[in-house]
Amino acid sequence: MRKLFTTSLLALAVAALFAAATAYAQDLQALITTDDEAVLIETIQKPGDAPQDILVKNVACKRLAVIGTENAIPALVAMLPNEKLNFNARFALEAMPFESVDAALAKAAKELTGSQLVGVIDTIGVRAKADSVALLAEIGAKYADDILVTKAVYAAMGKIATPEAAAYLADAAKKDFSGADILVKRGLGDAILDVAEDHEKAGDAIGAAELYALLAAPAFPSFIQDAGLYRGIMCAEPAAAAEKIVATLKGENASQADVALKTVRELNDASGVAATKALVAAFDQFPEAMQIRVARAIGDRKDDASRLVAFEQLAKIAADGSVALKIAAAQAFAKNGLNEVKAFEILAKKANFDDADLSAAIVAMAAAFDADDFDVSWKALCEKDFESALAQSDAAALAFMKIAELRRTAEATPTLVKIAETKEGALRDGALNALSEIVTLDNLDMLVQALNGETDDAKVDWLLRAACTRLPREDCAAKVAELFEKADLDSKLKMLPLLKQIGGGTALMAVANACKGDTLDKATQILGEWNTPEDAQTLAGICLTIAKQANDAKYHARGIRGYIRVARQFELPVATKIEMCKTAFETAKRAEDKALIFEVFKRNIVADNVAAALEYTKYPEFKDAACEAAVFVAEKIRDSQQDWNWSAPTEDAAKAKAGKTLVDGMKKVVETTSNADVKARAQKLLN
Amino acid sequence: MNSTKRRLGRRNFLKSCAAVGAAALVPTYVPGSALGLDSAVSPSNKLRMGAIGIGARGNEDLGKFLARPDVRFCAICDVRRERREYVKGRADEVNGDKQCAMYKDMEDLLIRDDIDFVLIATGDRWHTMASITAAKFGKDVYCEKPLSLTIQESRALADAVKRYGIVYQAGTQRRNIGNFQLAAKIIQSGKLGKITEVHANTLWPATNQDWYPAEPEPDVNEVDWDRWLGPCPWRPYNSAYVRGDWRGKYDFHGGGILEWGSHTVDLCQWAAQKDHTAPVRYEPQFNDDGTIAGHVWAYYDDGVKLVMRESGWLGLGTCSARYVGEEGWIETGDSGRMAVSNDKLRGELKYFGMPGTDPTTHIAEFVECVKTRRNPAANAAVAAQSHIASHCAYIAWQLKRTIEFDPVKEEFNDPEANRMRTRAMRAPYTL
Repeated sequence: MRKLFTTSLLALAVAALFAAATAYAQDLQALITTDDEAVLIETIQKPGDAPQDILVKNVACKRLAVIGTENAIPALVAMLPNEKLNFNARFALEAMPFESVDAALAKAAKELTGSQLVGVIDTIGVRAKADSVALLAEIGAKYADDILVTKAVYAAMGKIATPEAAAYLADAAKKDFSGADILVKRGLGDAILDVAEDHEKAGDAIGAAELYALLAAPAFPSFIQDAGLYRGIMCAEPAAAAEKIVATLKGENASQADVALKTVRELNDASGVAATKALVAAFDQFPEAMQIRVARAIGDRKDDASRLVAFEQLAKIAADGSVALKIAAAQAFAKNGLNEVKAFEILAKKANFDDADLSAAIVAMAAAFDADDFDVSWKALCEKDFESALAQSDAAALAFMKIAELRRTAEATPTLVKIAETKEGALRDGALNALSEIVTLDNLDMLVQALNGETDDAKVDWLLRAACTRLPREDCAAKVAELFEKADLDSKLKMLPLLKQIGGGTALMAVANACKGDTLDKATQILGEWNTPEDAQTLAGICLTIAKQANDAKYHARGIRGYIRVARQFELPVATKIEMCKTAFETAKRAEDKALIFEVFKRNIVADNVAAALEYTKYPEFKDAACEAAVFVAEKIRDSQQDWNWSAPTEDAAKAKAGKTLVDGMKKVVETTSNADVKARAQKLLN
Repeated sequence: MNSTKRRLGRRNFLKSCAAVGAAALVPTYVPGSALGLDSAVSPSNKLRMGAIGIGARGNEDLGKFLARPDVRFCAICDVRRERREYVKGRADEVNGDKQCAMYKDMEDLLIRDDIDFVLIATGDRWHTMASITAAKFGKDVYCEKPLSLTIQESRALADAVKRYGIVYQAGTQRRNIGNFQLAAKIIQSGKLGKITEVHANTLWPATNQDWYPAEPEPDVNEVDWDRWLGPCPWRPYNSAYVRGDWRGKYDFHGGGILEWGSHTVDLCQWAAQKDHTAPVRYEPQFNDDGTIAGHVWAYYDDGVKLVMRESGWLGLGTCSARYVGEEGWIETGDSGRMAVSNDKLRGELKYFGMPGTDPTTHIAEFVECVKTRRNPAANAAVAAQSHIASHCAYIAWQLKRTIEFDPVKEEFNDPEANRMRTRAMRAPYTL
């Protein structure tokens, strides 16, 4: 009983809150877009901090954030002491560009405590006014034992970043703060990074380096130390940066090694080449795991001087290193981009293809190479010596064919055809994969013939799609249509999706011609998925014809749905779509198909569709669906233009007509619909 | 705290790492081994990850991470008990033990020395705050899009990632998906001629200020409502928000341009080699009847036009992008299919069997970068710029007038627009 009583009370409370919120709703809509600051100020000055008060004041403050003048400042500042309203006031104040806001915030900060004070300090930080430093220092001293206030003061100082703010933070870092809370340590470290970054941006590398050096203090958490090291290397002189990187990579600290490797990739040209040279000089002193990481890091350098130095080292490990080092070399060569012919010669050795990972790395490298001399050299190999290259081993053959596939090397075609015809298993698959990327329209038949007898449908589908995707569309469609005519039923059913993949008018007509006999079902299904936009009108005509001529209800429905889909999904003028909906409605036999036209109206958010949808209220069965569609469109228009009074006079004739259409439409909905929710929504729009 | 932080996963990544490098270069034809999906990795060599806020998309990402032999999932932080326990269950099943830890406060997870990186898949309102917090703890981050709700947040995130030297990957996976890569390569190769326009598929831009009626607030261990709200304005609890119905609400969402623009404007910026900047002029478009359309046109300083539009696409799938040059155009979308203006360009195309929504290769690239410390494709610097462009477009759309923007100063020529660059945060949250 007690539980029931409690639940009832709760329900009443929720209902009361909802009713109150509804009562506010109308005011709320007005507040969102009003340019009347006085109304907004009046709103926030009203007493109360119940949820609905917070909602309205929140909206008013958001609007004041955009349009508020200095007139609003006293009313906003008056909200700051209230824990529930403090944030709303800050939302507006933080965005206002007036100096008087800073003065008001400073005054408030002296009087506030707790989270309200923390919030105001945050806002002072965001506004980043230089003359706030003294105030913040004063607050910092006053609340030295308050962790959240101290952290907020540090963060604000970091954002302000004047010399005075930097000095304040540096002093804090030089004191013994090892016993401080982790939040305070982090906050101090973050703020110093913030200030130092400003020094860097201002070109004061020395000042920045001094600040970063402070972060090496043992009292800071390791992640702050790492960040200090990272930025410290980035702003150091070239020689110092190189020395620090090498020393760090020789050390035991794994996370700092990560930091050093990151800097190798990101340093400017002068520091980058110094670091690359130093790393190459020290290369043999690193354990292999680190050598691999260093090889890849120097391989990522973009400047020519570093690339030259890196290439020589990479060539050494590519020739004489372990498999893991060779993999790293291949990956680095792909990025380095120098002497591609030489790099390939070093790595493309029979034995190297026996390791699957190394082979994959060599393939990826060769696929990525884009210098002309490598292209010439590779094509010559494919034209003259491909067969002997492939004869080295099956592993080498697979790798070479993959490279031919990825580079689309037409010169490899004769050899690939031979392999496809004479080999089995992986070698044949490799050749077919490559051919699918190389064949031309003239020898598409050859690929089709090579695929004869292939039992893996997915493989056949992939290879044909791969080929047809890049061949000239209409010619390719004509070729496939020709093959389609000669094919058996099973092949035809597989070729219909391929025709959709090719798309365009020729393929569409081939599918339309297949809308008969044993291919009718699949062909009509494909029409329902057709998606080349230039075919919209033709597709619509085919679908409508099917709908009108089909004796079977299933295909009639498929036709009409396909027709409506064109209106819904394809880009056509609104007037054309409205006309198509009329045709569909008259042609469709089932109510559920007729109702699909309302989805078409809901896709285009224009007033004409409100009127068009309401045309169907004359059919009792569709009265409510038509009203719902009209309200849906009108609501979208309202949401996007909340400041547009549909009834207001305007010199813009088109807009006046649209406004009248909307008002008349919603009135008609209110008069017509039997759906209470839709009626209420329409009434709300009229209000 | 000493500096011998555990980075077990980074000490030995030889073969699997090498193979992933190969995969990144040729994302179309990726053998399982190249994704590190079938190579053996000893437990001591695994990267250790945590996750913050896992909903529907987060679960998809999580599945891809859990499938990797080189990653061990160690900890989940979520403000919902139900979610924490669900994710722990998934992780424990994969790990074969009961050691996945659960947290309500992300800092308790981030302070752990043994976590290398985190997946952040909270609601949008938390993305920047959680990412910056993770960066401050030195954790690498894979964060779902959009990365920010404002211009200010976008910049703060990019700055923090640079400042702390972490690896950050925005969940804009199309940068690592074959058809989008090829489309970008084609435009960058000059095969379309001089670039004139790039088109980004966006959604209807509007958000609203509505609140749902109050419901009794659950126990904090069930749903920590205050943490759920995080830096956003307070409002009464309603379970609908927590179940995912926060989209379209201004306080929690950046609107429809950002929703998809975080992907597609990003694709356009990348393809047009504008990763370092943003358009300088934004023009909201209107229908013939005077109502505002869902389109915004923007212009870069060299005259290239960025069209953000919700309709008129070829039906190549969600999140489509079109690149237009003086000699042709190319369009592609999440279906993997591509359309071009002529047969010559068609000869450049490839067939891709991977949908644009699949994060597998994007996650593979991120993991590779965590190991190598390389900057990933969707790093914070480039993602911030495309988000800034999307935010600018939404500001113009809200103001219903053309505005101009200085991408260096990150300032508008319009005082009201300037005041919309930021949103204050509830204490104690601050960027």
